Amino acid sequence: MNALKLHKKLEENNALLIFGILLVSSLGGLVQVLPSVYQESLRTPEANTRPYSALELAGRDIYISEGCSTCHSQQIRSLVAEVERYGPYSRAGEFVYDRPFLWGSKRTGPDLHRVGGKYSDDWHRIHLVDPRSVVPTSIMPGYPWLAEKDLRSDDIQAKLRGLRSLGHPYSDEEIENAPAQLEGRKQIDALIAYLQMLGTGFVEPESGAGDSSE
Amino acid sequence: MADLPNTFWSGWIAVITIVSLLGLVWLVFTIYFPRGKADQEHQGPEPTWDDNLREGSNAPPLWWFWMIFSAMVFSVIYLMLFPGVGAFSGALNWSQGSRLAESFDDFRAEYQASRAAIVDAGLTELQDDTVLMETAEKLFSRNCAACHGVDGRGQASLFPNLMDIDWQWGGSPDQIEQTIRHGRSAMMPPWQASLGDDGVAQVAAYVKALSAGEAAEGHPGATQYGSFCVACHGPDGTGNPILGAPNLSDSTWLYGGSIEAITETLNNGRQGVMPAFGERLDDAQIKLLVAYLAR
Amino acid sequence: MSSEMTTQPQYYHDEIVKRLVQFSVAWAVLAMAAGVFVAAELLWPTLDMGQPWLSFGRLRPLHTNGIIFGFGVSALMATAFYSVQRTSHVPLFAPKLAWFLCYAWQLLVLSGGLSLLAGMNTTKEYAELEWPFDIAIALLWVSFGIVFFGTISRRKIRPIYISNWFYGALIIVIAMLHIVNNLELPVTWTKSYSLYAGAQDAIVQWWYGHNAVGFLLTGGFLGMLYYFLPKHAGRPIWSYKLSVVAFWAFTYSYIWAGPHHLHYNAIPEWVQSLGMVMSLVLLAPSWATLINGVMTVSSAWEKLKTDPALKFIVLSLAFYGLATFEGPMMAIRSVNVVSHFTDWTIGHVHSGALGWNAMITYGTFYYLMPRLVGTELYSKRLANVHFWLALAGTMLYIIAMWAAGVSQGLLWLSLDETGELAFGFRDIMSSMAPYYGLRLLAGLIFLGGTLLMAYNFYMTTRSRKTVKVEPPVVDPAFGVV
Repeated sequence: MNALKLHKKLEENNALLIFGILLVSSLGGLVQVLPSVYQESLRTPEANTRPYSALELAGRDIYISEGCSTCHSQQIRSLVAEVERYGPYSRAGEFVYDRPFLWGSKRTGPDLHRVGGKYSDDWHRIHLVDPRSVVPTSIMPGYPWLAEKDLRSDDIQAKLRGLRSLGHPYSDEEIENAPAQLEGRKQIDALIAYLQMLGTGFVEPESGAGDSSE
Repeated sequence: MADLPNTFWSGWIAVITIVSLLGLVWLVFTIYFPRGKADQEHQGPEPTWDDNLREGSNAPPLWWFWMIFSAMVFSVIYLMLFPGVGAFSGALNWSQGSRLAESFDDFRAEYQASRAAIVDAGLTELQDDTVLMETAEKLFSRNCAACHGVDGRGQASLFPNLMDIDWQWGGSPDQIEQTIRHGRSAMMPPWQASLGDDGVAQVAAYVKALSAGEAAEGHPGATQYGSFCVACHGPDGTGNPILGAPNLSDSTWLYGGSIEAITETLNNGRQGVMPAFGERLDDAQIKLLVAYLAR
Repeated sequence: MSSEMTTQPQYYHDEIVKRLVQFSVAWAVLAMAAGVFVAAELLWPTLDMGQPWLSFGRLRPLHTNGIIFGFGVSALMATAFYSVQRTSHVPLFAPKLAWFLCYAWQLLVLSGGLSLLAGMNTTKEYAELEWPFDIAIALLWVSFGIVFFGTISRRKIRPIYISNWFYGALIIVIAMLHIVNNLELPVTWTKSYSLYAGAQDAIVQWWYGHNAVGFLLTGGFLGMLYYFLPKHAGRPIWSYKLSVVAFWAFTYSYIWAGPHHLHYNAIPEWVQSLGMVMSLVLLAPSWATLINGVMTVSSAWEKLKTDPALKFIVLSLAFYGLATFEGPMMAIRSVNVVSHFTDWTIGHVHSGALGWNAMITYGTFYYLMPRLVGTELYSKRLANVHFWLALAGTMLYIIAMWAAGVSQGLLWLSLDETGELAFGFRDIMSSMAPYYGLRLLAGLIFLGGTLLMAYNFYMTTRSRKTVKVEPPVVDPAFGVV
């Protein structure tokens, strides 16, 4: 069989050409994507990884909505310098409740995967509203409206129920109580709650910084 | 350990990858080196589209063949050495985790001795070492400056000045280390409800006077100070570093020393938080920071 | 039968092509202006004036979506419709559907852009639009397929021309990628959650993201190249055989390359390795087309002196060669350690988007617009100025970002003699300002050129009617039986 002859058949037949393209272009996905969807280790949470609370989830959705991931990655690569700078490298199991993933592709600002607990709530509040008041050389935009706008609480139950249907273990009680967690709060409160829990789903086994023996 | 797929998916990956790569080889080979003479691409006249659009019959260049050939040879070798084809972990038994562990072994081999030396060294010895103090300054800039300012002089009327003699949580090396390693949480409660507006105003005035060294016995705020504030800040207002209660009798003000700022503090309380860095920094780094700050 | 044909002449539907070109140019101006604005925000972060919708995080996806779906897809639809009619020798199939698509697509990009400004954003790159838009895209994309493949089905010449293989792959593969990557659970009208979580979502997204670049920004525009380059140079495409190898090897290997966006990330190593080796293999089919293009034009160099349109197309080939070489290099694990997360990636994308996509599109439009209205280009001189602005802007942009990215990548990784990180993040970030300044200047220059083109087209087509063109008679030896 000769590839050119086969191609001749395809280039004279619309349907065959479509079929050929579909077949050839689907191979990569069948190999790389499909098995990954079934790979257990990518779906198994780390020991300390838990679903987001209602407030954290609302904060995460603000992070998404404001496009924070255009400048901040949430992915510490398994490289010495990254581990030294940001903390233990990111594990797949830490992201099992992340829909969508927020690893990012660009670090205009620093990685945020282990930012949780690094700064106080007060610092985040000041920094989010006016970054240059605490980091004079920062080029991050300010988000003053987050401190002014009330947090929506009317959609949180739909969100939690949706996530539960995708396998996130939320109890009826949690869903029931969710709006109360959000009421009377500003958007910035939710975002800070989210930032403060980032990267806390992984606890280092007893040994030096960033050691990776698994 | 590399993260490898199970048996079924491993076979799936291996079969599709290998067969499809062979398919690519077949495509390139049969077009470059057709067997028999019947393989002229256009028998008879060539088709012409849209007036003058035609497909040329030049033979593809041989160097391109060598280009894709070498790319594929590289791929095959790479996939034999590294994890790629399903559960086959590759001849080198390489994984991200093992690579990082090796890098850290090298890292430790190179720096462990000098870091251990830092941990064992006396503070003055470290403080006299200009190179180490530069490292400490870098550490400060990377870990502390976002709150305490690049110069360490505090900022935003929230984050304390670390370059003065006043230490909210104590300025001894041990206390500074404790602060860095485990963090601190201050707890100044709001007093509005207990004191009322008048009470707050009186206490604010009294505290202001304390700081100026002009507090008199009969000051209207003194009584309330005595019943509400004295437990933490002490009768003379000198504070208590164990509780993180600042000294009110000096001229240093963390949250501002104007009557407005003091009133705000009294009304709403203050909950200053210093995050813990014990997990983020190693012993040598903490030691260097302590030496840097205790100068 | 034949008498009916002669009494009712059929014309190509070129009015749709002209309209799509106009929309494409408009999107180019708008989306590039958005790009210039966000570039300025990285120098003057208070430029958003406290307005959420002017904030970097919202405008940046508007910039990328505007370029890809507004400028890029409109250009691809325009050129696909123009060339598929001429290579099939029939007018467009379902012209009313094509007209609907032409306008509905613009409405979609416009409303989608506004939704991004309003904070509706899934964050999956080049798939940021929320679920109602995803459904609309899928439906319109199917219409694109119906018009395109319907036209091919009714072709009067038996073999399907090369450009149509690439446009066909664009339509089919983007449909597959779009649908799989955007599987999501709507929870409100404006919010959905991806069906995939974490690492799996990352693998799916970069399978999509890289191949949106692959089959839209590369494959689709290769379709443009395979029609407009030989057509314009007046030469046959150099090697048919090479085109066949290039097409199938390209379609096969590109789709595997996505995981090189996730080296040393929390995904399995085997996926990364496959992504890396296939990225290297991909260099060969990418360059096969480069050879084909260069050799096709090599017998028509003299045209280059006088024809700005051809100059753009040839220059685009140079940047195409550069970007398709740089990409596989950046896919190598050890190189990626330095380049990932840095401005190098931004530079790489722009050497493709400005140097390749925009240039070939400009060249094609300069060829198309005067022909569509049956006149000469209003000003060849302006077009020549545009050419130099585009070249200068692109070069400046990629040099600035390359310097920024490489230094960022190396400085982030460097340790001092005590094993401490040598540089703090803030200091490295602050040192980027000069590069960001140059990039802003580069963007302004490029945008300036685009504005000149828009003016040139306005003057060229102003108050002129689209020329009616009849399909030529097909050589019976190749006619459809």
